[in-house]
Amino acid sequence: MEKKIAELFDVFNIEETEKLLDKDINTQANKKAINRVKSSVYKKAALKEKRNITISRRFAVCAAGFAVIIICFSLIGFDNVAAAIGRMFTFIPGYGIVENNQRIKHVINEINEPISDENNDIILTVTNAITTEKEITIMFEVKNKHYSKKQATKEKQEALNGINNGESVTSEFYLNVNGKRYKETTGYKSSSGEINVCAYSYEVDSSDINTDITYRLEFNGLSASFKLKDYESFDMLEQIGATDYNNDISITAVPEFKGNKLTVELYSINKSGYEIYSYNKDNDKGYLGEDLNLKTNNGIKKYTTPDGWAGANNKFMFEINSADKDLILNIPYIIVQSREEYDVTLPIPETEEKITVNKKIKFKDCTMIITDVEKTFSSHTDNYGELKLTLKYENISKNKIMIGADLAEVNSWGRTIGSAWGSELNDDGIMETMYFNLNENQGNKIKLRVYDPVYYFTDDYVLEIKK
Amino acid sequence: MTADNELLYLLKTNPQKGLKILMNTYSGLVYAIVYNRLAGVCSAEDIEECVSDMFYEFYKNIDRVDLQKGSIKAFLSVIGKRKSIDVFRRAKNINAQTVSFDDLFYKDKDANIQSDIIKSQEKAELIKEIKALGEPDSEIFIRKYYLYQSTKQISKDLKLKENTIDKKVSRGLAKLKEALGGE
Repeated sequence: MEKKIAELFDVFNIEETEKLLDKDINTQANKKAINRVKSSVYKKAALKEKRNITISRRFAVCAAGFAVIIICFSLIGFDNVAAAIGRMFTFIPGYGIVENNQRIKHVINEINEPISDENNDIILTVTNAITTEKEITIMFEVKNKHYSKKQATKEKQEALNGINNGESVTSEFYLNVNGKRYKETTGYKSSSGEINVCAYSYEVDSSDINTDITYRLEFNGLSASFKLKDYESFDMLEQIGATDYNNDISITAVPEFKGNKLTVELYSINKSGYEIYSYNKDNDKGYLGEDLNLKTNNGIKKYTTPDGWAGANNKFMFEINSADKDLILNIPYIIVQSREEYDVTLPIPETEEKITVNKKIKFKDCTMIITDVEKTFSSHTDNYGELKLTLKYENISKNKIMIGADLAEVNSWGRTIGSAWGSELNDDGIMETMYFNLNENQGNKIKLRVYDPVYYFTDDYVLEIKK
Repeated sequence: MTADNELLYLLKTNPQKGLKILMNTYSGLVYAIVYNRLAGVCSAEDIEECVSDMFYEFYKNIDRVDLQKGSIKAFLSVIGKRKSIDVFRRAKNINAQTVSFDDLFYKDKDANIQSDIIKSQEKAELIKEIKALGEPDSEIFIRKYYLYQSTKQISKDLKLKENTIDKKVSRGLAKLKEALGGE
């Protein structure tokens, strides 16, 4: 009987499976395996994994929570890194290095126990706080004690509805200062489902910002209390950690040794006009076969990275032992991205025909050339053919090598309507071809938006890690 | 739009986001279908490759997904089942044919229609009798014979004792045997 049941299940069609699995079946899978599967699928689909949605929760929220303050900093920052050297810096562990201390007044006074409160259903924990003269930004987590996968699916559906309906985050978190209750002026929320990570800013009277007051974050009868302290400032980045500079981007390495494990967190001050995309190789392909590594007297150590992160992963872990000395962190290149976009129109050839177009797209540091456009008929789907674009690059500087860009089809209203489904990379991870599926009424030309070019900045960073 | 419709739309218009939601929602189920079939005959890497192929196949063929026939969950489950059976047979050197997305829709023109009808009736009866077991017995059966989960795993997921699971399976089999016939 058992064999018969299993054999019948094996040949269930879609409709029969639909009836059988009408309820949710919650299963726990190995998280690391699932993450590897996800990366593999993105690679096959030639898509970049949107890491800024995946969670290193603390990093994501710190970045979000400080956005209000940091916007101000960028306006009063310096033109280049060299000018910033020798100025005052504040280092906020888990977030970054902030220039010009005049805006920051206090940070949270850390104590050994978590700053939290809980009831039967949730745990509220304050993880960080930072103030300017008139504003307090608080980072906190709300953990749901009874979270289930079923609820996750329901919330994902609601989130999808929310995307279409434009729903916004509402707040019930108040900051109590000596009996005065403040409502937030801005709030950011990131959710993994079980844990909501938030950063809320409160505009308060300047007389209510000092290190004597006990502040209370209040939510649904819960209250998490904390105090502030003066921040620690530094004259030089090197006081925070080993620092190196290239192309108006400084990178400071902050190490932590625990037993046989070294964790290095990288923090940057970036005046280059580019966003840092990655400190290590992307798509499993590194430039000239190289990648971030740790040199020791006993040889080169490779890194591991945390399971999830936001933006560019800045945390690298190495296995070391007491005999390992002379630790040098080598970053042979970084990957950066620029926010530029251009539209081009290309002809669509006949099926199995290739046209040389040599269409140039001039970005700030490189000219991308779409050399050929070829239409092929895909035998594995019922689509209307696919377009293959061949790419070449003319880099302006030897140390800024373009890797590729995003390409999307644009409709007559200027709206992007679909991305490339695939691409081919060479051994250095540089995009050589891109593929687009064509539609039934495509016509004889296609308009594309070429945007967000990505580069290797190949000047290396060499950082001595002291035990 | 339903959630599945919206997800299909996202997969077409914003594939990064759509794939992320797809895999976040269904990777647990799909991984369970594939892993429990292939553990012991394939390496962890091969299992992960199979799951990854499965999602990629679905993504490549989203234009052919007809939600009138079933949900995305149903499509993924069937692809997962068929692919893992295919890999299992290859690993065991059993005569295997490459499974493609077409197999989900098109019947072999040489198939025995009479045999197909009988099988369809058996499957319909099986679904009916499993649902008639009630919960949690129904779910236990699906986990054990569809997902190939062990008693230990079912016990962990449903928070029931292992001997409770075994008893329910035993009683359920007896009921199914009475209703469906067979050994």
